[in-house]
Amino acid sequence: MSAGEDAGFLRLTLVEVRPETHDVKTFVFRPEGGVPAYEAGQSMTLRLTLDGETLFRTFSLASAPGRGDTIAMTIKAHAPGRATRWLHETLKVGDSIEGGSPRGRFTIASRQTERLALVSAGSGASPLMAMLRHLADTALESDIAWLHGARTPADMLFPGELAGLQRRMPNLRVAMVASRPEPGWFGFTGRLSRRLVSVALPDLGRREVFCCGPAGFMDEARLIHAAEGGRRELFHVEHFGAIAAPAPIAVAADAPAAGFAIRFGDKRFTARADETLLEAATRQAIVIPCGCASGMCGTCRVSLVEGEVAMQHNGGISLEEEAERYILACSSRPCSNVTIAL
Amino acid sequence: MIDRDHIARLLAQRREGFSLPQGFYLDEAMHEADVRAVFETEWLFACNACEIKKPGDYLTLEVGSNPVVILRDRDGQVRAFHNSCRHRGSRICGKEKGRATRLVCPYHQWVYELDGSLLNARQMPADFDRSDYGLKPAHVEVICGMIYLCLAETPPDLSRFRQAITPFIAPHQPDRTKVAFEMTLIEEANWKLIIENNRECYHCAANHPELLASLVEFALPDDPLGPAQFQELIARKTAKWDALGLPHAPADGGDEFRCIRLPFHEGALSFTMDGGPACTKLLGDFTDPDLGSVRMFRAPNNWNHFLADNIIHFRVLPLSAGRTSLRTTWLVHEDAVEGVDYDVNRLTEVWIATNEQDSDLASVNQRGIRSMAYRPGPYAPSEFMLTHFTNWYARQMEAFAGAPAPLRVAAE
Ligand code: FES
Ligand code: FES
Ligand SMILES: [Fe+2]
Repeated sequence: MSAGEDAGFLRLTLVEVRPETHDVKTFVFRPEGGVPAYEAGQSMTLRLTLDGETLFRTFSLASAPGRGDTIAMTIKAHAPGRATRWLHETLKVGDSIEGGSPRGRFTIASRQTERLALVSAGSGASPLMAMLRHLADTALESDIAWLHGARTPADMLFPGELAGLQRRMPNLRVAMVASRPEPGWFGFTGRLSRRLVSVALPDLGRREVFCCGPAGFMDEARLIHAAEGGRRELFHVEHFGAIAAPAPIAVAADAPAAGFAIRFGDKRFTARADETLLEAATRQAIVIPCGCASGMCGTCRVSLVEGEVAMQHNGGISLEEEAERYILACSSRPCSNVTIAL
Repeated sequence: MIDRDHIARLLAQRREGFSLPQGFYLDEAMHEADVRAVFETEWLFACNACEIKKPGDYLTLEVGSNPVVILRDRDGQVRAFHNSCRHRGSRICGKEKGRATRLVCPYHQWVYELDGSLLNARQMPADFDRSDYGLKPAHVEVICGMIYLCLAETPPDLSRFRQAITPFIAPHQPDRTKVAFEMTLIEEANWKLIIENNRECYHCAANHPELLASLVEFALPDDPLGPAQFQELIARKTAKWDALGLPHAPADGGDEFRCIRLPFHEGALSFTMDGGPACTKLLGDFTDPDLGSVRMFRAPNNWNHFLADNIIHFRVLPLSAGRTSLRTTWLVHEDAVEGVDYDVNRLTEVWIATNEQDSDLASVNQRGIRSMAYRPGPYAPSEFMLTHFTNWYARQMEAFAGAPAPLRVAAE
């Protein structure tokens, strides 16, 4: 029995691959048994088997919910990324892989106001495109500023689709920023800065921001939004593992130095009070399926049969699941001897 | 009448490091001498360039008995003119501020172009040569958004000042600001007491509870009276400012000016009652709200604070021996919106309270100096900037009065 079936993984059949740029492709999958419910901006963890090894990787869904029987992910092939290269080079239309339930708190539904800025760098545009497509389906009049940065003009994502959406969405403004412009590029150039924002998106501080991109880019965007007078709670980021380490959890003085005894099915290992169950298991070569390792994707969900843990997650588990004594192994540190099960 | 000999004798009595002899604070004749020797000679801070952004915007002020108008001409240049008509001398612009396409004298309607040239003088004879009757210009220089004015024929050199302060102030981008609030306070004290009061924080602990919520009382990074945690705070903040490329070490301004970046108390960002930000939209291209404040002073008449989120300018102009006007302007980012990014009350309340307290202190100082028992008293070490200022002032007066004539002994 594989862990995946218990954790609710779906079979996804690749039905189309659309090249977006030289190193970004959109993969369209048809989930067996229908598209699971999701919100624009959420992500999904894929379970990939490469050369007999199982890898978990989390990607944003770029598709809007409620459109047909497929979902899409826009994925960049990272040079050192085994999984993304495998997706780009080996996976073929007709093949299938597995994906977990869509998760995450970075959703358009969480917005509190009506003036939005969707700010992205590189393939971070993917969840924002899901949001924009969803708004195009549901609220054509939405007041949206799209700001996207990429290295070269050829790296810009979705220019054609954005032009089409602008024709239908009267209050959609689009600005693109190339850090390495080339002849023929008439958009903005440079890196994200307040000076650039003051012309490319002058009312950023008045907008609720959804931001996705490399950690440094999101940090800068957050500082700029604040410096433009924006309120902290109106700035949302998709962390994707780039999250700052959670605040350390106080370790009880009487925690055994050798660690607590953990039972995981028929396996046994020890976990110290200052490490997560996932860290401890990995250290002792015991596999708990995981994706983001930062409490967002829900892949490492296990049920807590016995014992106590301290959990600090990032939305990868619902309140209902918590009530049913599920925990995220990547985000839970033991407070006693613990028994967990898939 | 101004008795230069009298001034020279008082200067000879003066002791360095002591407050000035009584006459410098009280005599109306000395006020006239101050106006001539200092205010009609030196560069003065007049107003902010952002107050006259568009062609035709003007602002008026009085330097001693000289009405002056400062305006932006059609080419965007800042100019200053004596605000006195070349017909029969009437004051031309009467309002404190405004926008004009031409300057028109209210008396007989002579019309001046924004460059000062006389455009039209109705009913004057056909052969009247208007080119002889343009407005008399005064010198102006714009330095980091501050308009300096000089009424002297040949103004002193400002380049050292400009060079020293620009690296401190330019990052705050004062050209991209607007006045959020302005206030003029008439103080019952000699202008030099207003400056002296401002140049020390010896009096702060007892008098400025609002200000001390954010401001650190010490004036130098290595103040020996500063507690160890102040040194530690300075070290931490200056390391950060170094990384941001923002200068902080005191500029070498001698007696003429001072410029330094100092931190607020730990956790404080701005001059507010709770130390929190005064304007959420930061100045310039800053993304860090914690830049302490650049404290700038230039003799004779202005001190300033440049923060991450606002700029405050203080302008002193003497009205008489015992009265002085203090104009305070608060600047915020030009796109900041009142009620959204800032609240005027929150932005201004600390310095309004502080100005009020300082005004009381200066007027009480003035009253005490009237006493027959007044003798110049010694400055404390923390009052070193008063020594700078009075030395600077004494030099101006010496240059004006010349060497003292030998005392004539009364032959009775
Ligand atoms: S691995 Fe993603 S929530 Fe634990
Ligand atoms: S005094 Fe100005 S027009 Fe006569
Ligand atoms: Fe004071």
